[in-house]
Order: sequence, then C-alpha cells, then structure tokens
Amino acid sequence: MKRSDNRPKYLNLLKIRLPITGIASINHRISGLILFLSIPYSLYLLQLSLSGEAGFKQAIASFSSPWFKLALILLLWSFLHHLLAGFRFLFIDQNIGVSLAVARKSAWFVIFAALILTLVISGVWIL
Amino acid sequence: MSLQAQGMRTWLLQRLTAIYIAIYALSLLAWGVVNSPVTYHSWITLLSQPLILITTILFYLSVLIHAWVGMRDILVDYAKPSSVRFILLTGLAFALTAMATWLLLIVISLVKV
Repeated sequence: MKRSDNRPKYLNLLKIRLPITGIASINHRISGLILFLSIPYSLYLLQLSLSGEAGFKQAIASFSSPWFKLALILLLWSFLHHLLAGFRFLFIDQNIGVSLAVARKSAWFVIFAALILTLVISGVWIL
Repeated sequence: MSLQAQGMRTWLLQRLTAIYIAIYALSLLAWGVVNSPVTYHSWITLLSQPLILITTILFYLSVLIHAWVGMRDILVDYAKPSSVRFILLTGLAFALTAMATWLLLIVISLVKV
C-alpha cells in the first residue's frame, strides 16, 4: 500500500521511548528469540544426558563453567519473562486487564517479577 | 479454509502450545527440585516411562510449533526486503524440521535401551 501523505518517519531506536507495556512486549520477543536459539543446545544436552552414565555426568558438569552459568542466567530470565508475559497476554486475550491503567501495572509487575525471580533463583541454584 | 480462519488457527495454536509448554516445563522443574540431586538412574527411569516419553515428545513438538509462529511473527515484522524474509523463513522451517528429526533420533535411541 502506497502512502500519499508525508508524515515523518521517526525510527531512531535510541530515541524512541517505549511505554512500559511496549517494553514488556519487546522483551517478550527478545526472550522468545533467546529461547528459540537455545533449543538446539537443549537437544544436545538431552542427548548427552541420556547417552549413558558418563554422558550424564558430562552434561551436569557443563553447568559449572562460568560462561555456561552466564548463559543459563540469561536463559532463566528469558524463560521467566516469556512465561509471565505470556500469562499476561492470555489474560488480556480473555478481556481481563485490558484497560490502560491495569495493563501498565501488569506490565511493570511482569518485568520486575521476572528480574527478581531471576536474581533469586540464580543466587540459590546457579551461582 | 479461508485466510482469516488460518490466522485464527495459528493464533489458537500459539496459545494452546503455550499452555502445554508452561505446564510441562513447570512440572519437570518441580520434579527436578523434589528429586534433587537428579542422578543418571532417576533421569533415565523418568524418561523411559512411556507416558513421560510421550508428554516429552509433545513438549518438544509444542515448542517447535510455538517457535515457528513466534519467529515467523518476528521475521514478518523486521526482515526486509521480502526476498530476505523468504530466505530466512525457509531457513527457519529447515532448522525447525532438523530439530524435530534430531528429537526423533534421541527418542529412537532411548527406546532401544
């Protein structure tokens, strides 16, 4: 479709200030992309862990490398944010929390809950 | 099926797989916490049970379908021009099919044990 008007296009990503609901949404996409990229590695680990006693130990041992831990924390955040933001979207699908005031609150909640849970779970199980 | 109905089907598929993925992932994590530390024996015993194996296969299939819809949304929104988008979508379909095949090989090796 061709636009005949000449409204300015303003797509400087550093200057666009997304509303909090927009941040929850773009984080949902970014976390989804990270989770997608982790699928092959999860298959590799699954295969290794089922290949025998030695493979299982090797898969467990890979969790102790610092780089793997960093990746795991990122993956944990992705999982938590994607899960919580996903629940939020399911509620919005059901017409629950659609009003702007509630949608903003639930967006703040999802973003902070994902970050705090990531810190707590990382502190207890990963680090 | 009309184009609109296909969009509706995709929308529904994304939600249904999301719910299944959430239930499976949280259940598996809960199992891991309850049975900590997980040993090779407890792990292979868990996954060798037919019901668990089937729910695990369904989990991965749900993940791959969910990833197809989600990654397709991302590519449709950001990948331009349309030739680049087409190549990336084809690559995505290829990658997801390869992952499904890999899962199949893992399952076969498990059943033989």
